Amino acid sequence: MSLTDLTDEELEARLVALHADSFGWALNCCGHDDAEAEDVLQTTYVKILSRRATWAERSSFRTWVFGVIRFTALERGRRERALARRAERAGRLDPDDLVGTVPAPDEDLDVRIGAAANPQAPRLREALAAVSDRQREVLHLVFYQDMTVAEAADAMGVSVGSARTHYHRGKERLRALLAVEEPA
Amino acid sequence: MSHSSTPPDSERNGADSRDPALREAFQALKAEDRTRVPDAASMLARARAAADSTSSTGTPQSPNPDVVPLRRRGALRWGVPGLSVALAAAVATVLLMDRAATTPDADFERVVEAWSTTGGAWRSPTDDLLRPPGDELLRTVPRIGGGSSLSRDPRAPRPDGPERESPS
Repeated sequence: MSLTDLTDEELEARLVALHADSFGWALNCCGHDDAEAEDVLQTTYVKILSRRATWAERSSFRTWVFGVIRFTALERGRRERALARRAERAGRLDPDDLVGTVPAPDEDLDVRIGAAANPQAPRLREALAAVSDRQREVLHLVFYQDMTVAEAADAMGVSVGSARTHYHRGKERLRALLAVEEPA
Repeated sequence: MSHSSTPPDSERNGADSRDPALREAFQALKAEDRTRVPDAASMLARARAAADSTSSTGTPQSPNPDVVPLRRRGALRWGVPGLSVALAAAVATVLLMDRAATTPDADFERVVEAWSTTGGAWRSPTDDLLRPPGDELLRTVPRIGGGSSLSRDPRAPRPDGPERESPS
């Protein structure tokens, strides 16, 4: 079954079923910035529902949607960097005010969620901000989304070998970061 | 479909068996993220409306109407001056061609050209002097087996023509 075989209702039903996972992946692609992630997900839905993004059936529907989300987030990052450069040329703004490579973790989030939140989550978020983009992506897809490394490679648009390398290196780095941050 | 089948545990990275701490941390993060998931129905409704407007106009609509997409801004920046230059060049070409076609020189040339094809046109009496003997050899292709009309013995009978009787 391809995208053209699906009716609008079927397509929307599939997107609804994936929505929570898609938002989690969008958060990962946007440095855990809620507003950014929601914008990216919204743009992704527009692309899919207007059939501008095409599913060639080379991968599962979920992997394909994750690929579109990732591409949309990268596209948005590129556009923001271009705007920052333009603003810098115009002498209006310092680009550092607009764009960071990884947005800082939301410090107010824990307050909003409440005291019942698992203390592991903010520590992991901070540690993830310190690993490379590729490593963060593959670790998220494997541990958070329960994908195989091959599926993760598909969503990331890299070879399985490359994804596996990022996976192992990222895992070691994350373990080290979490061990250092472990309270004595 | 092969991708829908469940991969073996070894391909599942052994995340459950070898990395319980990491897995637990990620699941905690996932549980926390789930509390912030925006409403799917409203997001899809907005996306559907945007998709419908995209398909009706043929171009994606920016969520903010004040923001012109970068690609469109580039097209505006280079498209308008480019179009103006092309239009000016076209007008100049048409004007020049029209002017050239109506000058007195052009009219005179047309009259001379028409007259030169008539029988009354002057021809040089010495034109024939410019044609050397055997000139036709340079301008015609000889036939195979026919031989050249110059090298043939004039007394021999013509191979393809009727016998000519001697006048004597």
